[in-house]
Amino acid sequence: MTVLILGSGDDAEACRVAEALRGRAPVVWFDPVWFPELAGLDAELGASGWQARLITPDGPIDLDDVTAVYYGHSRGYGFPSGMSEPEMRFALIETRFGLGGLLADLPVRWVSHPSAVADAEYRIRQMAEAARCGLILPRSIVTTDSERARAFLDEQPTVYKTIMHKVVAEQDLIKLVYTTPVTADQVDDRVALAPHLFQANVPKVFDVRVVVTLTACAGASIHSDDPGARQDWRTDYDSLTYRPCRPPDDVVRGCQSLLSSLGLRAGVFDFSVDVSGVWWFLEVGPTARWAWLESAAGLDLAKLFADELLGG
Amino acid sequence: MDQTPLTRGPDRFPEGLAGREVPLSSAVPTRFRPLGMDFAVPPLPQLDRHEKPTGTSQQQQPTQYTNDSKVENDTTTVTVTD
Repeated sequence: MTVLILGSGDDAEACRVAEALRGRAPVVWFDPVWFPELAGLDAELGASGWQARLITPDGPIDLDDVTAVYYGHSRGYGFPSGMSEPEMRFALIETRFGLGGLLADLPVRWVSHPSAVADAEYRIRQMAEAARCGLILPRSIVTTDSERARAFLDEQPTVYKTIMHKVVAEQDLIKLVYTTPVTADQVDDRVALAPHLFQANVPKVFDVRVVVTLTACAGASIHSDDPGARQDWRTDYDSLTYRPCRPPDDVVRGCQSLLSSLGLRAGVFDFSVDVSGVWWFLEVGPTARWAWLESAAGLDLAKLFADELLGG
Repeated sequence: MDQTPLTRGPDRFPEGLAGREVPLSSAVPTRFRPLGMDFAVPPLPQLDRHEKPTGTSQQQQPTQYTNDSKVENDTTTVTVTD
């Protein structure tokens, strides 16, 4: 039983999962940035599939020995900086489909499989799946119609959220789009230039970030007195306090149903909880950050991932 | 290779996730700027090693430019966020 950690050496979550596996299973690493200058591959197709071996700075990894893969954050591949753009594109595509194809074909426990992770990144899809799994979502619209948007915003306090693209890099500046309260008078015809996601602003008391696997759940409530951080806790970490917290059983079941429907074995769920105790689903990130939450709230979240990798 | 506008190859497998690698640009807003971009604000400075969601880091990636009809190699800065 060998667990392959597929991610960057400075991925805090991957490091903690590897530590949690210590003494329970052999762990081998493959950081995509090693490829191709520090790592290589060799594979031959047989009747049962590819017999593949990765060559790494730590030694060879026989993929037949791998029984589970933790798929974390990576920095991409480490192609020589002197490559031309056409050379880079060729190498990148061949590597992604070659190395990526070998890895994606591994019939092992993935936490979670790259294809499932990529599919789950489609927020619009995961919102619909979450609703079908019984989770409660704020009233939401996606629209390119400015009149529709203004009418929706007139009906309740509303926030704007990006569907995927959180970074705006222009005028030599980097900006981020957080969850932003918005009013009808701010909406103009430029809504038509891309789909815009508007969502009823939940009158929340606190937020929750919780790690859910197919068999377990643990997380923390996130509190702040700062109005901006209460709207979106990512805007001011210094104002936050944390308490260990577990969702109600029906919410946990909904999360696990959502994981199954998305083909995931684990996810990092964000909720807002209102004065009535309603748990409003915001989103699930298959590879979202949780390492800092372990330290801040005194949790052992890495163990959940280790247990899932080892089969519970 | 799948080149449809609804999914793109780099959505899958280790090249970073969609929408999280953005080239640093000196471009200025136009009248065609989607409204949602107006809600972008500068991120808070990171004082420690980043382990929290939605911060940014910058990476150098190779690119090329033309200098007096001669193609030269250079690097471009890509901003990556979690």
